[in-house]
Amino acid sequence: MNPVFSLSRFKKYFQYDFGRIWRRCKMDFFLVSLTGVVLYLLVHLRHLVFEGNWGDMSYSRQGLAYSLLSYLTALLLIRVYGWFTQKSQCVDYLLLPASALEKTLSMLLISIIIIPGGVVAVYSLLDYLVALLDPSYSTYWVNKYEYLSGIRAERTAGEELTPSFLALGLKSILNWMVAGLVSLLCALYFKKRKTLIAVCILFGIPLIAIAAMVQNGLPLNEILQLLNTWSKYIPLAILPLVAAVYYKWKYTTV
Amino acid sequence: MIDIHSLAFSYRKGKGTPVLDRLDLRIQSGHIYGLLGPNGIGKTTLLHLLSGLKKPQMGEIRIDGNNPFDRHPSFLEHLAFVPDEMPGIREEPVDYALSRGRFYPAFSPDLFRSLLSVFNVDSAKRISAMSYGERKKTYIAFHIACQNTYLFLDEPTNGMDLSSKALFRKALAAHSKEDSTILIATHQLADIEDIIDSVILLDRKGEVLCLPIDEIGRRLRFEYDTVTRQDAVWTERLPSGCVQICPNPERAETRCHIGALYNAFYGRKEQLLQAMSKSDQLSDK
Repeated sequence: MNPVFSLSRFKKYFQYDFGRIWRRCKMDFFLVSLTGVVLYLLVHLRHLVFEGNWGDMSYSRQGLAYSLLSYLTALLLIRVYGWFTQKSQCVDYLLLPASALEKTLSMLLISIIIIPGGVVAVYSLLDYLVALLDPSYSTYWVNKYEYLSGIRAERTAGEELTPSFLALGLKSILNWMVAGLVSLLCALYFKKRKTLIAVCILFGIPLIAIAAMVQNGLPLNEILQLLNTWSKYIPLAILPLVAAVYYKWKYTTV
Repeated sequence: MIDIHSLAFSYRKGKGTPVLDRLDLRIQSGHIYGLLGPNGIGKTTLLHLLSGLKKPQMGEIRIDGNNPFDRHPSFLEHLAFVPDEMPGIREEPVDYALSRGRFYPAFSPDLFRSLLSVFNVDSAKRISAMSYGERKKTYIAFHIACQNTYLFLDEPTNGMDLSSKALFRKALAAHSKEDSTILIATHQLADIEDIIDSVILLDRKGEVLCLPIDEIGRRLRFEYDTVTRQDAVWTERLPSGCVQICPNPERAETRCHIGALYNAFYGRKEQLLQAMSKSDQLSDK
């Protein structure tokens, strides 16, 4: 059998890896998926208590819930793969008969495709259920579609074209992947304070960049434009981050 | 077969005393070795290096032609390492064994179940909820059931009660394959004395004694009485009398006392090794 990659061995390893993660982290997975519903309940509870009426879950609040969901999903990976720096668990996995490439691919598949995909699917399903129960509420995806269509309709000839839905969706997926990989690397490379370090990287770097721009007196629209330009380069980080995950599997010692 | 050539390893690369220094060793297949030595001599480090969990800083290790640190799947599926510290997985033992056993071609689920019952391990209890000793028995049972060619055990009897230790010895002797190479690193000499057929005594300077026990009993004469012998290189008092280690030029078979051998090796190594080579030279003549 090929020592670097064998499909049957990968399948066996992936089933083992996923099964073990599912048994250990399914509750955390569902809790993170509940972000939208929790925020919905909090908004309405606040309105009921302080204003005595049923509040409004605006599109911006839904956007906030969705952003929070993306960060929580990224941080969930620390819980999922944080065992890597625990000696006994790491030995158990390192000695499993599968190659470093197979172990890396399984880890990537689970952490940047299956978990985020699953979280978004459950989030969207719950969002849809809330919309069914509350007629005044429309789902995040419907609102997002209407919002983006509105922007498109307002554009006049000669103005820069708004990116297509597909391009926007792809950009969003790639940003989720980068955030997930950053978290994953924190889980693999840091023994202590993994979550704190991941939060500092994911939130700290953009905040420092914005603070520096504000300090230099840049106007808000220019700051937004710059952030938009920079965000195009974020997906370029995927390859080195993936290489860092592989390096860890290949050369880790205990 | 395991071939170790000029192996060196230090936890502080380039600084301080290396744990292993220019170690040359050949470990034959089909034997149960007791890997012995005082604290900090490098027993666990050697097992980690042999399992591919550490990378040698100098020299090389070959296990049936494989470099362990490459961690090739075809090599790993014939290797088992039971560390002293084991993970507390939130799974029941049978679930753990069935999901993991698929990676090992010779794994026998029936043998695993029977070993669990022999060891009196509650198979309905999650591994994470088990005591240290129970956990150890579960992992040992699993790795015995995998029927691997290489089985490395680090302090396997730590945390086990007396009856479990006896059961462990029995299970290992009964279920290990003929061609399996088993390496047991331990301080609990009495726990493994009955099952090992070879010993490895490590030394910081790379000097090592690695021989089958019956061969040691031929190269050295172990006298169990109170008569003081002039040629004895080591004398040790026992509760039942005393044991003396002397050269054995006639190569007459004597019963090796591993405890005395251990103490002699670390107490009067030069004299002991001289006595062994003297026995060889005299018998050659």
